[in-house]
Amino acid sequence: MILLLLACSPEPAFADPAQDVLDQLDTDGSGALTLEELRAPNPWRMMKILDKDANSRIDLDELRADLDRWPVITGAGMNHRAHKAGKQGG
Amino acid sequence: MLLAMLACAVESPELRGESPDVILIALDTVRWDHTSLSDAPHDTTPTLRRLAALPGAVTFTRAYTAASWSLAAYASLFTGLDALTHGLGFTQQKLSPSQPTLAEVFSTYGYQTAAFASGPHLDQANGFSRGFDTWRHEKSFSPLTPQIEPALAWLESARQQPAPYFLFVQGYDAHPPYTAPAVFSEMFSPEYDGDLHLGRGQMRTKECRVVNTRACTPSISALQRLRGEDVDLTLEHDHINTHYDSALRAGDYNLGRLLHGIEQHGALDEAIIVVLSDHGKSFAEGRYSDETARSEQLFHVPLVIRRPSTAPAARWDGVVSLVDVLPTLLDELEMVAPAHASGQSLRSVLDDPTQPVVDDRAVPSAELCCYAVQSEQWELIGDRRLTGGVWTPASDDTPVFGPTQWRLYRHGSRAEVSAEHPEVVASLRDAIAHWPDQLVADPDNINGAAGQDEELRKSLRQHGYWAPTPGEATP
Repeated sequence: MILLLLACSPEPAFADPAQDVLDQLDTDGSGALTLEELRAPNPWRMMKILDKDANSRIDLDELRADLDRWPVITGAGMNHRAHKAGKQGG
Repeated sequence: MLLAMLACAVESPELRGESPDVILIALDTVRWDHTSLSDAPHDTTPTLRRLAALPGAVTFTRAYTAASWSLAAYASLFTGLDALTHGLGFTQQKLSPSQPTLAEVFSTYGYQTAAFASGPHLDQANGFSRGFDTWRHEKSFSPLTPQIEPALAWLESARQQPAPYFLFVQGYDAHPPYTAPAVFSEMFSPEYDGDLHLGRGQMRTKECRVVNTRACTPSISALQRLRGEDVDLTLEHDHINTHYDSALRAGDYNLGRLLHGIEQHGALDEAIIVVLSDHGKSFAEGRYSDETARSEQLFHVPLVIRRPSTAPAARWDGVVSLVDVLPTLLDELEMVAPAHASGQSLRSVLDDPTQPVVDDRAVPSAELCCYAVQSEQWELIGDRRLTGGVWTPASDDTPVFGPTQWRLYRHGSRAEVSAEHPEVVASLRDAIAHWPDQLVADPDNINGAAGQDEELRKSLRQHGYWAPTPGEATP
């Protein structure tokens, strides 16, 4: 019966959208985003803001917390290519 | 195994009550050719693609909006009237009480109604709150983000009541000021290495730091004004378009949150769900875009209607208009549509999306200065010329647009053929024969700014809308 129930549980049409974003960016399939996977002009700053536990990886909960926040914070100041001016990590 | 197959057979969705609920979601400023429903190079709208693939969904691949900016476009969506018939943004300052809105009709039929919207155009002062029991509005051009949780909370509450509901949710995710989280900011162009910095409503260049910021709205024409007509801006053009793709992906994320919540509340298979955009977006002029491309960019929008049904998902390629949404929903719910509606019910297409396209539609779209009329084979484009050139409110001159100069194109062709096919021109012009020959360009009408405060005017100006202060020239 349990197997039957499992077999019949329909897949949700719209799963967790944050997981979708993570999957789209997580090119190495590690389940979290590394600096190299952040497609932003200033990934160092983004990592610094989002990586709450400072393990150099942005996991699903950290990503979701940023995506769902209003007003947004990581949009601000992210459009400058600070690394071109030698400000890595800024 | 047999038991499992029987138990897992697809069940027909069951309605919550006698009448279906209705959820209308508007993603502002989304042009068709950049969505995942088209052959766009980036997967910008995976959620919308998923919705379009569900049983019961029909994607209208050639849906055109009635107007190129939100004020006039939402007026058409809400009233079923084409742009120059309701006049909002052209000749009227607010929706006329004699023109009933979709929410008012639903309310008359006992529906619970709620709107979660934003922006200075979709404002109570312009008449858009009429018919909504609940009206939650953000003054700024905000994305869906702040609306999602309140909308889902209202949905949960509405589902506890026996009456059906109409829920409208709208956001400006793909519209300046582009407040998307940085994860989305350049996800489709991480390799771009130019000096054009986009985001939060500004286009920043070295030049922009010393000239007025109004010119910094992302557009190729603004860059051409800064750098000259002869400078090659191909990289910048591509970068602006890719940045727009990122904004679309951010909006689609919010659409995903909304539909995920709707599904979790059990409402996905109970409601008719309509997802559309009020208008598109064009960033290019001159050599980067001709007028037929520009017309497509501004007026061709996504439209997906999903009914609770087990019918296979389908696409329909006939020309339709967003003014068809009102008569379609009311026809589907067997309600009486207002007699004046310009649109046509698409119910027969929803019932049988395999039916062939019939070449009997001429769908008009309007900007203040330009018109387009689409049919299956043809596109008629007309320019209204601003007489008098520069206008100042301090002067006694009234800016007037007109008369219109017409050009005809066969879809897919850049050759202008109005002289060869005068009968087609005449036929397509019939679709807008009731429109006035001349337009008086009152900025308060154009932007819905009548009766609004200076803060709103300032916001409109910052986002490139024409809301001049005395002494300021028209663009």
